[in-house]
Amino acid sequence: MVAAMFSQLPPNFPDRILCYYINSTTQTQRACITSIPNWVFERIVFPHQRLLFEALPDALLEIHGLSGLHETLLTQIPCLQLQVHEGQPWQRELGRQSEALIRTDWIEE
Amino acid sequence: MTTKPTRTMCPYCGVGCGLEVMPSGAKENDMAQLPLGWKVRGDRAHPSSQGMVCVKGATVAEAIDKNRLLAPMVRDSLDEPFQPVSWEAALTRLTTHLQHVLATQGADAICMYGSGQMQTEDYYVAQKLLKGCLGTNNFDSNSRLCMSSAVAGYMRSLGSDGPPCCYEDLELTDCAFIIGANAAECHPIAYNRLQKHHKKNPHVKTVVVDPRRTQTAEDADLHLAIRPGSDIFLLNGMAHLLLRWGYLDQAFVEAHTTDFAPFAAHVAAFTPEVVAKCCGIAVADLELAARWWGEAQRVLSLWSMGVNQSSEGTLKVRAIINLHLLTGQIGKPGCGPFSLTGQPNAMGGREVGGLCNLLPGYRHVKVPEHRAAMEQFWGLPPGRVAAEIGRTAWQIVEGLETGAVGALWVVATNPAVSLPNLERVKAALARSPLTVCQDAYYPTETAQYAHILLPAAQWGEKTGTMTNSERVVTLCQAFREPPGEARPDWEIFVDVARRLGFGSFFPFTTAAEVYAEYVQVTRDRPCDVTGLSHDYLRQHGPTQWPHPEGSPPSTSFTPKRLYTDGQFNTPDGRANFAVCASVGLAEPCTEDYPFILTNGRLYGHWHTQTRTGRIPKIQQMHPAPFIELNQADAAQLGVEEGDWVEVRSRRGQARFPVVLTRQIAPGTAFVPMHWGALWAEQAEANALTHPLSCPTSNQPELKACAVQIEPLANASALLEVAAREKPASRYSNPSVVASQPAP
Repeated sequence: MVAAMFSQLPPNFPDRILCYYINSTTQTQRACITSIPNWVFERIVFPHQRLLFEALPDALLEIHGLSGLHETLLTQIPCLQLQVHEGQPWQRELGRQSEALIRTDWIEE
Repeated sequence: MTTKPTRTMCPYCGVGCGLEVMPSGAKENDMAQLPLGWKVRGDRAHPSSQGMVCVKGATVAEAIDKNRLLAPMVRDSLDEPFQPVSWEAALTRLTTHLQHVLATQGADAICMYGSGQMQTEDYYVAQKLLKGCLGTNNFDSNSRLCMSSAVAGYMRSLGSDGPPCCYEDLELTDCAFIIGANAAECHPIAYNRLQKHHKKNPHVKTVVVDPRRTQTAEDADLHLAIRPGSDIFLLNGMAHLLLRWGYLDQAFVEAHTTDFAPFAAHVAAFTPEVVAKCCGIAVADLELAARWWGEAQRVLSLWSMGVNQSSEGTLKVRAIINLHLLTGQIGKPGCGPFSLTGQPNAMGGREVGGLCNLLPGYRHVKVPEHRAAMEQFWGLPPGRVAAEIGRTAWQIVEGLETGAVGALWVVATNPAVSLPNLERVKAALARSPLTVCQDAYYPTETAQYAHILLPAAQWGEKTGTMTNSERVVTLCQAFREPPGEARPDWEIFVDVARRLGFGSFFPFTTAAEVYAEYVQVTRDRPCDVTGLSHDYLRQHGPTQWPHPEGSPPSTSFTPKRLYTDGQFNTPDGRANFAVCASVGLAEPCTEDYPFILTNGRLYGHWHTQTRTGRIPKIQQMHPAPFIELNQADAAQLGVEEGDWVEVRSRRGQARFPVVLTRQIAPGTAFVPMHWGALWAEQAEANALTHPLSCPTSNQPELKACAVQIEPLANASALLEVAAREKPASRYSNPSVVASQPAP
């Protein structure tokens, strides 16, 4: 399962958006996008951990709760709802650290 | 890979059962079949298990491809997601940090915490890197939580670590005295051998000492359900009776022991009436246990965590050994003090010095000659091996709290579930400047607190050796390639050592070469294995130590017992009696915390479920955590079977559904140890336990803590609501939390 997480969004998708998700539960989650053909995004998101990622506007982020052997699909979130808009109050509060994160993501692309 | 079965050893408990693995669907030597999975069967030629396997061993292959960590990953802080990186990038980051710590805080700010899942080769390279090249003894392993009291007890009473018995003794004894061990569930195959012998021979007696009426107790001829923590009273009381009734083996005591007189004077006060009252058992039962011990020709005592995980663990082990010395029940077939090891290679770890007080070859860091021997062997300057004992597992936690630990490297273990007082452990881990988690699986609870994840090859993906409880060394052979970019632990250590500038000390290119160097450090030591090599073990099969160079290769397995000549590994060759005084539990009940909570394993699960949690058959056997309560206690609390209770100690809390039983003494409760934060909500046994430890072995008293238990009102309704609310309200994103402060 974790093998898929190494895929970065291929460069031939110009219409990409930057998204932000935080696991505010006490349960470890698996976040994944499987709705884009030929591309899978997957991350383990520990409790209270933040996730910045790039996706396409029509992608759906699936959030699975990990509890023992069983994974439960908790929700599917349109990535458009998770899009980061420059200058949002939350983004300013994230401060320099998150900006560094964003840059890192771009560089790794 | 060939479809011929590959011989290896089960990677779970310390029984060390031999396994044969072959591709599922393939017949032996059928090369046309492509493996879709792996099937496991018992290795009939393995002397320890004789072809038997338990449910864990039989299903182990089902977990090898689930939730594997496939590539190194890093992150700068704990609230960031991990990013996959190359090995080069991950190890550069690690070594840069280690060099910074060495320059600013010194080598003693670097700690490694390993486990008995590591093979002997992994252990050895880690010891050479930390204790030799870096000059810090800060390598501890989860044997600290498991066997360190047994190690300390053997060393002090017999002069050296090393269980003197063999599994064959399970079939030769006429009195098995099992204390603090639920072998039926935790060491099933060794227990199976005893149980078969017991059933076939009605004259054989079994006594089980345990506050719970476990499956092992159920099968016994006599169950002594003593109060938690009263073991030493019982053992001293039995010694008192054995002396009073004339079962003293005077010739043995005079010829082979010391300190008998103070011991005899001490146990004189432990009259049956006093002991029975302290232990909460009948005088007649105490007398029966002592009578059976005295009358038996061959008494075999077996113990495990119920003895070791105690603030008096070393003394409890020594009190058991006292009884064997008193009656001369050691060094002969069918008898002796036999500790049942927890992890598959905890014994190998002890041999190779895998605790912060030990050096390879059953050497001790406090002995100047031992340090000098290792410095000379490793080609290091005199004084490089530190003269001070390193940090124990709990002292690593304390070092993280104070900032004295600048780098923590966790290998093949899951301390965010297995250490006591978990809230404090997690807070300490959260402060760690750099934590490396080197594991085969992901996610784990400890990975949540790591900055670097290094993917490790696991069982079946690397060849190396392991030693089981009866000192049998098995070559665990690889039968497949590691997935993704996973590498054997020893290779990762060597890579880091080379980057730190110690490359000339680590010329190894194979695990066989590592083992060939390791065996040389055991020369003329009690655990001498200079006659072994990977080739030898491959050719001749599992072999028991000692096996010095020149030992004739045997065509069939002949068990070797220790101390058959009455010569012990002490300077004068005599075993030492111990005066064992007890104050009971470190945290007794009070009015506010009126219950004693104990914990343990279930038959199907292993430790923190990293493997067994991912195996459907085992999940079906043990789907959820629970608390066992005595029916009288439950009635008083007003709870029934299936009701939820909240359990609180002075350190934390957890919630469990109730299982009612008459199998546990009133005032005592039991929870399984297996459920960490990944596997259940608020069901961590170690959220409740305390780190108070045996002053000699530094093993924490994981087995008992004082708790309060209260019914959880409307628990099921609360849980349903929580489940319903999860999808709608438990995620956040910028558009919906724009007005809230960022977390």
